[in-house]
Amino acid sequence: MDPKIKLFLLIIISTLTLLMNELILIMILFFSVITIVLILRIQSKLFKWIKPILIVCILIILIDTFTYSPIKFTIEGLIFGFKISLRLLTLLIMVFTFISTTTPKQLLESFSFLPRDMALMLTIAFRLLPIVEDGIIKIVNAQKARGLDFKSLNPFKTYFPVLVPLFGKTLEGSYRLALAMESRGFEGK
Amino acid sequence: MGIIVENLNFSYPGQKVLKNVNFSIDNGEFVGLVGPTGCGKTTLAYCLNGLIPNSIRGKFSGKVLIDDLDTSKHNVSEIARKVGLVFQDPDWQIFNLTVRDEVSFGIKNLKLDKLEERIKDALKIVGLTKLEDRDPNKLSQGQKQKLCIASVLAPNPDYIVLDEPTSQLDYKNTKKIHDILKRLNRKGKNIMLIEHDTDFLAEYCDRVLIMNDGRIVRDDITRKVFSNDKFLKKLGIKIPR
Repeated sequence: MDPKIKLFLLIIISTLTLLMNELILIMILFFSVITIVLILRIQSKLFKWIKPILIVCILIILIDTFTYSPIKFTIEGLIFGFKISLRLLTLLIMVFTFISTTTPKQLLESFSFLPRDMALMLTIAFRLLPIVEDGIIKIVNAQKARGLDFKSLNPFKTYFPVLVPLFGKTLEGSYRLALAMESRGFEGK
Repeated sequence: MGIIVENLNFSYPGQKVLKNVNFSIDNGEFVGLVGPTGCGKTTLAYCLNGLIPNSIRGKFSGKVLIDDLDTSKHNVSEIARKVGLVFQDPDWQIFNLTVRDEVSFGIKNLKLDKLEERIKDALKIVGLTKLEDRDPNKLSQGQKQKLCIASVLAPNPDYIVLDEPTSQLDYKNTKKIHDILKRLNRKGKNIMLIEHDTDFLAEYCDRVLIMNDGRIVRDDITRKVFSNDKFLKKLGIKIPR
């Protein structure tokens, strides 16, 4: 399917999910999205991805059930929590389906209707992710080689030595990229 | 015509980098620039492309003329038509989805005609013709650097400045890049190559400039520049074999 159509459908279904208030309508949307997942046979991947979110949904239902009317079990609270959870799940499943059936290239092509500068900005953000990831691996290895213990519970001891050089390297790299773009005539107008 | 640099001074806030730099590049020359780390080579490259004084802040004085075009009076995109600049690290230059898009970036920015022809020519020169639709992230480091050269070549500038383009490459790929540059020079392009490996400079350049502490301390034909071992040793520059 054309990535632009997919993106359009994602926006429409997401908007409907947020606008609808009737439980039955939200359920229809949820099961439609689940049907798409089953047709595309990505249910096992989805389940792995969504497991932690299911716990969040259960918590939402529990909290709403007992706090809708102060510290008392209410059916209204249960339904309210259920609606919120279903909305959240529908949105996330839609986003998951979109991402897992669209290559990064198609994903970026779907932004082609945007102004050139904005599309470029998104392209650069996506393209630099693997470079930043590579930077993290290199810094972590370098710090491990110098005896840094990543099992330590003190975040200052573990994250600081990675984040400081990572930010420095990424900012410097981004500056160089901006210069390289400008030197090839890019004016950002 | 050519590049003329006259009494060029540049300071970043709190640090004077270029000190009264004077030199020129005539048409058809292949000039090498060598010097210790931090002596101002990259800053000088930015001056030749107009990034200094147009985009990078600092105190600028003197003149850089590219075919009589004063870099302080024209914006970078105008100068980019005449001078292409290749940076050190290809990973922080390449960002497009395909090799083709990367090469066409400069052509589109400068609103030049014959897009297809320019892309094909640039890729042919660097030997990446068959990789037109490839994802640049999946290319080898050597191919990435070739792509950077192709993307700078595509708008067909007369001058190409390369800031240590082979610092991350092995000997074989370094030689390939230098061979491409030599071929371009024979076709009439003016090349300025910033490089630490003096063996390559000795083999490929007509003329070499030595820079130290923001100044050009030697400017002569390659053989003469590299004949003074004592001087090279003093600056920590490798004596070519």
